[in-house]
Amino acid sequence: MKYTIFPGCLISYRFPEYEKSAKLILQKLEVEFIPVDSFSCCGSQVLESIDDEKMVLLNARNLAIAQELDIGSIITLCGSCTHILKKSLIKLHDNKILKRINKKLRLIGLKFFPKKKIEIIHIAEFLNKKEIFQKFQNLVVKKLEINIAVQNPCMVLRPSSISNLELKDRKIIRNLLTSTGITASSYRYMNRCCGGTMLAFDDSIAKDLGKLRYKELQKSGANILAVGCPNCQLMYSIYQNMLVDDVVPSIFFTQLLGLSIGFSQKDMEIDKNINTEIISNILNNSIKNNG
Amino acid sequence: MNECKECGACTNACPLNEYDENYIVYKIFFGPEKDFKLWTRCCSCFLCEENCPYGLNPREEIFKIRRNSDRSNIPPRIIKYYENIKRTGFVFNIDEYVNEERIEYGLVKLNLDRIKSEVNKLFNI
Repeated sequence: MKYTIFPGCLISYRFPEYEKSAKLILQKLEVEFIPVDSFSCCGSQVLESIDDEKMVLLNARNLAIAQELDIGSIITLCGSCTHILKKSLIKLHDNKILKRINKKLRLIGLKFFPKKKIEIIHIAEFLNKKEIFQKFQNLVVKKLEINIAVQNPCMVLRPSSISNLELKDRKIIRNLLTSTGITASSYRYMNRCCGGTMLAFDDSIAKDLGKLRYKELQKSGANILAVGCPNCQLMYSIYQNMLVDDVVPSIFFTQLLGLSIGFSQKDMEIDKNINTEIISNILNNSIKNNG
Repeated sequence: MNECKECGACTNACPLNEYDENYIVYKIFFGPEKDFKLWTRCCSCFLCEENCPYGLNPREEIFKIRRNSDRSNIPPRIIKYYENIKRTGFVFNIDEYVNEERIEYGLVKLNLDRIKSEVNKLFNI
């Protein structure tokens, strides 16, 4: 099967280290990776709030491009992209919608084929697939002596009607990290939304939601927060730094996984993080302790 | 469709209620009046839908309110992002500078001209 990564807009715009770390992990897992240069963004809750037919159309274009390249699995990194692509894919299986959308796609020489199977899967869910998880375990060479908290991406976990994830599967990111020997603290908001989507709609509310979370994060005792969505990273890096003095630095979980399978801090672009100094200190101490 | 029994499960779960206890999710979405002023108040997390014992979907209700609402109710930033999508295919400003960084990171260079021209056609620009 052929795989690709859906970059989305916020990741390209602000957090390319997330895409890079995910891509390097996939390559190390030897999945057949096809780079795609012509995906637009998913339109996010912006488009979902204004015009849901256009949301399906924009993503039908993305899906049709993947189908044209024989890609069977689109791996997403962002919660919002995951939900919007999955939702659009479901809607494209309604014949009436499909007809209207394909008529528009004809204008640009594309067509969506409902019978050609294509899967949308978030990177954390992908890495939790049984055979991939096994393969990943065999690559682990380094135990990071850090204690993490996790913020899960809402729109990957929910709604269960679309996500396919059972309640018991909702530790997808935490399980991956602890399987490498990292320890985890419980964090009150792990499954309860970072509030990041509010940044676009009303950033003053988003900031207040952030403050509630940063306080709990402090209490959790974790020294690093692991996230799996660029909206969460925005809330826990740039906004946390803006709003409180003692920050618990936040990092994409793929960067930590990458380090545990032998990639360097340079490969994982730890420098790109707003709290690079704190994170490097924690990681360097961890490696020292590790011998 | 099931009816809202006002049990409050959605409200208890909603991050916006934790922020403002007067934000009673079921009253807003299943009450007689749809309040367009509340356009912005949803962080899209699906906790309301997930916790409703009657299978109702308050999140979808606010998105319906948003989609049926007059342009003047939409926050200016959202209009700007919407225009960005139509004009370029992206919410944020993805330009050649972003592409240069992508190349540095070993990521595929985005074909911004193709994306723009195809998305423009789909949005009738």
